[in-house]
Amino acid sequence: MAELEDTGWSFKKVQDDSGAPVFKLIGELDLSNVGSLRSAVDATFDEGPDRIVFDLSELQFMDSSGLAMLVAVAERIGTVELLNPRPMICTLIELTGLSGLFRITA
Amino acid sequence: MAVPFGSSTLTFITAPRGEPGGALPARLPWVFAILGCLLSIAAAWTTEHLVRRRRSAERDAAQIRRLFAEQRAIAETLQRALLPRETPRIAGMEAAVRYLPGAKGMEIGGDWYSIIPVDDERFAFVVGDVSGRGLGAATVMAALRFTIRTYALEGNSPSVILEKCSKQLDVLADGHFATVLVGVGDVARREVTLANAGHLNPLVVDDQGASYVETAVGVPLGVSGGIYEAVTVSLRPGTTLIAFTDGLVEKRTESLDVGLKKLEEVAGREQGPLDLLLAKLVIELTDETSEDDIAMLGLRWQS
Repeated sequence: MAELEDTGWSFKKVQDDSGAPVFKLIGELDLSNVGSLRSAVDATFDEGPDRIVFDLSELQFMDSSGLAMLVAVAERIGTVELLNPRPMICTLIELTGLSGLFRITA
Repeated sequence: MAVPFGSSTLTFITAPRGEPGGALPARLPWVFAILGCLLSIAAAWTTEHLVRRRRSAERDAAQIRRLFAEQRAIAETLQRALLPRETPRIAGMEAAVRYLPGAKGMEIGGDWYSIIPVDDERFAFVVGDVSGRGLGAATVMAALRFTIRTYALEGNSPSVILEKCSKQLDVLADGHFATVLVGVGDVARREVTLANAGHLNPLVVDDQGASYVETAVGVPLGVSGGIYEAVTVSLRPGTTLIAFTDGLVEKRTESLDVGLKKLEEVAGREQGPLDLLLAKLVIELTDETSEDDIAMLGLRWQS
């Protein structure tokens, strides 16, 4: 069934040099898998981070539910950093009027 | 066995008390018979079990297919019930709408369109898309559709409509945001005023070709700090304006730019009735890999 297709999705949580949580997203993020990522990010809020980083260098696709999750994190914490997003992800963010919500770094 | 015993010999005749090699050889045929029987029974049982399992799996698969189709049908029925039943007539204007459920979609989507006659001169139109899918998205969609309709009927400008609506959705609390394009058209002056909350720009098509209207794109509804500036465009007689949701131009393997460019090209070379134009755009832009819902709205000023 289409809904069960393997999109090669996975994520892992690491820390950057300053100790901020970094979520590395790999593959295709959509409605079928955004739930587990949201739970992991929600759990991170208990640690009281100043900022959260999403490493998007290996994220190939993101649908609106994935974007809504990132937007919700930005609304909650203020600074969300997107590391190395591919051009198509940048286009999505730009066309949706959300560039002001994220700090995009290459 | 013969043993010399004086002048005669003694002959011993020996016979084993039991079977040579123990009791096993004698029982072997029985052992084989019983083992054979047991094996046959086990094989028969296994075969029957497997056949039954297979039949049951086939029944389950059929059941799952049936449930899948049923759920999809429910989602589609609900989605269509939430969309306007008919397109209102606006004097001097031709209007067409189109909604297509996503090819892979089992759950209800959050796309919608509206055309709202405001007064004798003005009408409003809306195309929107709630992030995600499912009942949650559909509920947000229904609430926004009727809220925007009310604000439009009160005669509010597109910017004011979006600003009022932005306070009614919160991505943190609701888990969804919504991209919405609102327009208010003046039929006699052939003008459209547009405000945009994170939605894709509409396309304008005339005999010169097709191009996108550059709106001031604000954040989607549900995101804090939304400020929506209006843009007014004048349209010549015979001009067509097409607003749509991202399902028309989105592919997993391509940037939205690619789909938008293609839409512009196809719309620029297609002629004919408005309804047919929308149908052609869907055919040219989508294929079996298009998974998202599509809502489209076309307006044409009669010449």
